[in-house]
Amino acid sequence: MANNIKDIFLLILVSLLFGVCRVFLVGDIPFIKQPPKLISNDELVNTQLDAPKVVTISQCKEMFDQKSAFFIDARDSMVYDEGHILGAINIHFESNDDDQILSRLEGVEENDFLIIYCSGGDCDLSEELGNHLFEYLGYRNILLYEGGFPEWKENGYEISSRK
Amino acid sequence: MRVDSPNGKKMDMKSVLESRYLNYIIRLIMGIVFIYASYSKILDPVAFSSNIHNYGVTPVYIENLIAIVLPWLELFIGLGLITGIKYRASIDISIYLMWAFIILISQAYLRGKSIDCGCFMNDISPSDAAEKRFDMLKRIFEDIIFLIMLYKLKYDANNKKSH
Repeated sequence: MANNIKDIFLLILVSLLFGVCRVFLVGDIPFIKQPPKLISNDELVNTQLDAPKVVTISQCKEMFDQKSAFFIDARDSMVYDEGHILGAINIHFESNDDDQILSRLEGVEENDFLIIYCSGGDCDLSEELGNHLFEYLGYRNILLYEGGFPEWKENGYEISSRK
Repeated sequence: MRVDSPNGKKMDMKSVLESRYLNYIIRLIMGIVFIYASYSKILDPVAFSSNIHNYGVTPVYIENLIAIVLPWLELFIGLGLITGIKYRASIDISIYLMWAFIILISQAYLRGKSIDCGCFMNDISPSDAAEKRFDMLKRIFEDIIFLIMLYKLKYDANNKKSH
């Protein structure tokens, strides 16, 4: 049994070594993943962010009122139809390829602020879409609204539905 | 139940289960399963890190580290099962991993979360949700079958029948 544990650790150690060597050789992934950070009010100017950042509901509402950001609903179109933030563009990452995403974002400039939301809580759709837009499609000012549609609706802010 | 053995003699079910050939087949199958699973993850750890995130149980900070090390571990235990090098350690790690996969997929299923998109089932259309639920059940079922096969290898290894 003792030998077995030694072998288990040996296999894990060898895997760690290979993994680390691969990262140093290819360099496509950092060892530690950082969760998106909260954006400060100073950063909410027309600049280029270094990564997608998180916005609070008050910052969202301010940008909504000033029409200084595009809102993107990352949920499925059926759920979107039941209710969404007024004026939000629906992009469900899974069911749209890059061309379809770009066509939905026609008129949106690379430096425009895009506030992406989904259902709040553990919902990852907004983060996945945000990372994709930031890393592969060149949009530089991605903001993630983690409270999502439920929080926006609870606060009695402007919503719209197609039903 | 009686079946033909490779040398033409009739064998009963007990003999089949105790046969070395069956263990070699299981080792080959499980080895290929692990090596195949590791291949795309080694090539694209960023996507794998995102998949880990979809389970919604790990701290964000360690997701990349798991994505960097785990695929190599899968590769080495796959090779270990086929070649017999560090065989018992490979079986033990395979069993731990298989239990982990079953528990992780089951908890996501029970929480109504898809491990495919990281989204909650109520954020996607009912037909998509049904499809994703079915896929998760299928994966749990597959992993249970793999687990039974691995326990057979472990049992025989402990009784020195297969190795």
